Amino acid sequence: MPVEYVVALAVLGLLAGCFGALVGLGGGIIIVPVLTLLFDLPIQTAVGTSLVCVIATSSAAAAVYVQRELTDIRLGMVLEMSTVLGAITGAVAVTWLTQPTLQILFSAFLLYASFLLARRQPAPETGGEAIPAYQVRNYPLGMGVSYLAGAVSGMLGIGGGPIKVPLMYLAMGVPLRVATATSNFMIGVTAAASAFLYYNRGSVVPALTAPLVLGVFAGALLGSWLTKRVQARWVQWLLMVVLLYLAYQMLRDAFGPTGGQA
Amino acid sequence: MTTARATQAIAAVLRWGSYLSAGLLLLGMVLVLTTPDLPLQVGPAIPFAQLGEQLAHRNPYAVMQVGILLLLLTPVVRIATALVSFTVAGERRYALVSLVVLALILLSIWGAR
Repeated sequence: MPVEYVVALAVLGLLAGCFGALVGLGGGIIIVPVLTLLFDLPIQTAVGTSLVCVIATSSAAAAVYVQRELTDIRLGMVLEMSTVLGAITGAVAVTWLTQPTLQILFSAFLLYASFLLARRQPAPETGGEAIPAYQVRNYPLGMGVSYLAGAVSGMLGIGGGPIKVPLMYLAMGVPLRVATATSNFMIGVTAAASAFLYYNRGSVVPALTAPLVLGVFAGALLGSWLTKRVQARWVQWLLMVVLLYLAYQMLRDAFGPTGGQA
Repeated sequence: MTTARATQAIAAVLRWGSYLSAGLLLLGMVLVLTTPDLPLQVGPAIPFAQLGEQLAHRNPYAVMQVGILLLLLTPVVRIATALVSFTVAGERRYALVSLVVLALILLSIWGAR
């Protein structure tokens, strides 16, 4: 196996894991477009491979969040009933969609995520602050939107944090830090539900996945080390530029003469 | 929050699942890079049925694949842990929720055979 190929994949994983830890966004959302655009993988293989990385990020981060009691395990598991069902739907529905359609859907999600980043005020990470008491409301809406988040995750190979965090924070009355931790907690199970289906279809390539996942683990460690050493605002803008560029490239590819078969 | 013990158990499953799979992936990676004349296998994963046999033949890609499967199974074990914890704590409603999630994910695994 060519060493430079392994190194390139590990670096991609490292960047994805690092952004993931710094911004709470940027695992699958970077991995899928780069695997299709730079590594010329069919989008479904990129999605299957990305889902494995998403599980890695979720498990490693959730272990810490659960330990610190930031995760609302009960709320997470209730919403997981929806996200898992959605993920299975998404992983099945994806087989009916063409590569350009998927690329356009993915670009739309990239634009939405950059929009969220542009509006986001970096939350002051005051780790010791106690979490205010809260009462979860709007369960029916939560279940509905979670189903959608699961479907998007299963179709596009992303965690779906940009859907779940605003849902819990804005519509369900969950404090932001708990919403972030709980979203992360749900992502592993959601991604696993669809990852098994991709795996069986041959859309997970072990030789590509291993260096990527190892990079993601290392990137997550590096990211949490960097958290207190870099300006959050700066990292968010950098990620936004990356996402916009990837959206542009994916759209160009989808509408290009090759019709997404790059 | 769940009882402290359940929280600890769930955190431990997630942590050890990550460690173990990362270790196996690293081992697989080292084996792949150090085995001379190994063909580049960018094809799909080895089918489940042949995995044991390939491991016995010391196929480095099989080691990698076990690491990936372990990673995929970590969230499943996490749900099973929650199911046991909620059942032991007598929280029937959440035990049922865990059971539904577990059933759905097992359905997905069954569909993926």
